[in-house]
Amino acid sequence: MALEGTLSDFSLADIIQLISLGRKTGEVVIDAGNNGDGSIFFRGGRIVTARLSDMPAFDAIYTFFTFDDGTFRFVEGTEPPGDVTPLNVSNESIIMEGTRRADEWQRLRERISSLDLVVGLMSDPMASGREEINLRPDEWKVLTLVNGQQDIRAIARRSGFGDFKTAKIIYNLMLAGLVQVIVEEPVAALPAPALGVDLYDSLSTIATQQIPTARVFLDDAFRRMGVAVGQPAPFDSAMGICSQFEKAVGMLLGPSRARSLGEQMRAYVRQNYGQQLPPPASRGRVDSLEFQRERWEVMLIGTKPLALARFGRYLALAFLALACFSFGPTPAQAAPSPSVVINEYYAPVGGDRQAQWIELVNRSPDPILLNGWTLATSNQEFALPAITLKPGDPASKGADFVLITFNQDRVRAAFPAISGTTTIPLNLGEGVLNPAADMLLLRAPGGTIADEIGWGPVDKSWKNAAFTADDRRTPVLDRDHANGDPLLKSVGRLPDGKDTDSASDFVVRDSPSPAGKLRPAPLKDEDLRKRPTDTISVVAGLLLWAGFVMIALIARRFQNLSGQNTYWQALLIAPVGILIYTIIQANAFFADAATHSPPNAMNDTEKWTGFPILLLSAILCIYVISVFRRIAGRYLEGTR
Amino acid sequence: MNNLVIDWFPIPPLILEIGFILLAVALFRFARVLGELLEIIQKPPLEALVVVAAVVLILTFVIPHYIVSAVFYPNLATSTTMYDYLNLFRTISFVGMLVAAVLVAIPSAMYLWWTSR
Repeated sequence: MALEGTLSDFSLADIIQLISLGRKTGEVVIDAGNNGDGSIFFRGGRIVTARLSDMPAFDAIYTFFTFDDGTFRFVEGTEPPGDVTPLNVSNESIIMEGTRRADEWQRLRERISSLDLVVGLMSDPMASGREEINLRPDEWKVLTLVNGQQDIRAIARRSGFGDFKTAKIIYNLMLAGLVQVIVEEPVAALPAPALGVDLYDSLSTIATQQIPTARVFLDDAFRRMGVAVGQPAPFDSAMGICSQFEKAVGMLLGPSRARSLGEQMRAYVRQNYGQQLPPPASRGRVDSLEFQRERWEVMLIGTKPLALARFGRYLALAFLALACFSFGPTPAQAAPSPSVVINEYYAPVGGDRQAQWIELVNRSPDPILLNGWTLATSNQEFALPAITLKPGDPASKGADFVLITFNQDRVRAAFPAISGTTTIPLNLGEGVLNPAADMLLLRAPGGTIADEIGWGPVDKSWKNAAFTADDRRTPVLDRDHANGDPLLKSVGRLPDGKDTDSASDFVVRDSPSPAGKLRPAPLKDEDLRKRPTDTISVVAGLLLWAGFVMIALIARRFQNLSGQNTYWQALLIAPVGILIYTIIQANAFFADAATHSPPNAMNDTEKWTGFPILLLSAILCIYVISVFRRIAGRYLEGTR
Repeated sequence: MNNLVIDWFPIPPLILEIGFILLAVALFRFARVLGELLEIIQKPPLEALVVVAAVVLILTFVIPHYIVSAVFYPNLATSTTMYDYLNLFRTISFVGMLVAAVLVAIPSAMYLWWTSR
């Protein structure tokens, strides 16, 4: 039987009914041009399966119903592929559902004229006026694929929902004011600039105006985006480079300045790709997608179908809290920051200007050679010598502090405690820091800004005025002292080395602590007899251990009297952790002050050894005493 | 006292505090056994001292020692008065531990002495 024609002349429902009446076996081949081509297989007049792209059989059949144009041809005798499971639905049911979908597809076309439309998120989802938006899981899945670069067909393919269902979901999302059509063609298909713009040179010119060492970060951004320096890059990659660069310099410039610089670079990219881009309004939405996603996350996190996302977030927070709890540093201390920081500076108001100093500290786990580093004030810059800063934890005084002095002798006279510490004498005679308003800028080799702080109002006449970031302004010493006495205070990070790139890292210190050494230590002598607190502590520890040993002796006595095995040996061993802790403590308290700072405190190694051992011992004590109690209780119960 | 930095989770000192809390729990359990043993030999209920020792250990050692680690230690650099507070609280905590140790030792020693005769 020769049966062929166009879908505009014969509807698919008519074709199916005709084949059904004739109880034919074969294949209806449908070619709908851009919409795709596929087949419906019949056996004895019943539809057994269908094939269209990678869609499931039902989706394929129902999609055929949405085709207005295209040709069809019936090939009699063709058997369906052998590995398919025949559909167990009547032809009438398929026709009814297919017709319904075809009608619905007509409605969807009010907003979705083609599956080639590129859709993106609305720039302001709240503009729809809805307080709460409920999304089903399948809607959420589609929404996560809407990125302003994929067309609906691609989204359908990636979601696995098929064209019709995906289009319907996107239609509903459009009605809800969450999604909008961006462009008629996919943005990803945009070609690179025809003339091969040297993106690297252009972006580095913009960036080096604010960061002399911008090329270091730019190289990294290019590498991360897989773009070779000097070669033309696609629009998306160019925008990605800008974002990567912004992220990298954020730690140095602060978020606001980094964002501003990133915007400048993006504006340049847009300008140079402009001729190949869609109209400006649409393009702007695509470019700000990253920002949109942040807003979406905030808005949608409260909607019902996002329970999983919410749970995941809580889980992440719980893990983060656990990590902070378990592994030492507080979140503030764990914030990303440079390796060497300006930890403290001493520029007293009304005091000895010659005794000014600046303290640096290495907060990284590696030794750092200061060769090639520079330190700048508002108008001067000093090269630092080849001194190696050892690593360590500044908060526990385990790090290597270095003191930069302007007049070494005067500093040593004012702060005798710094004797033996590393200093960098600049030999200028007197300090150059202005306690009312000044700045410090620490640069690593190559000009990378390692740290910068400022205080007081910025004077535009400063040589280095451009580097005083607003979010790193330290406190200014209070000059309203009524009696005119000098303010011999310093300004420093608290705890030492804390660096979250905010002014709150710094406090005014009543007692300046150059090179991490606290001045006049209240411990007045090293004599054991004159340090009663430490002695009491050691005696108390020994006595407490003895008390637990007596429990073992009591158990042994009970065993002798009752004949019950009380495991008194375990009771004797369990509290040994108390003894070890006490010995470690005694060693720390009475050791040389040079290895313990503050002198009468345990260092980190001793703490991490003694405290867990004591904890383990306590757990063992609870267990063995519980065993003893159970044995004794059972025996005493029997004797009553 | 402005700009006080408080380290709410001072690790590793917090490990020590938990250890001493568990030791106090062990003492509570020991007090129960000791009470029954003293009752058998018809002696005064000295196990109450062990209970007091456990309470003292928590109140005068664990809490002050935590305050030292969480409040005074991180602020040592701000003012020398922090040192004074630190030493005061350290003294309180260590004296507390000494008192607790004595309170544990006395009834135990008494039981051993009574049962050795």
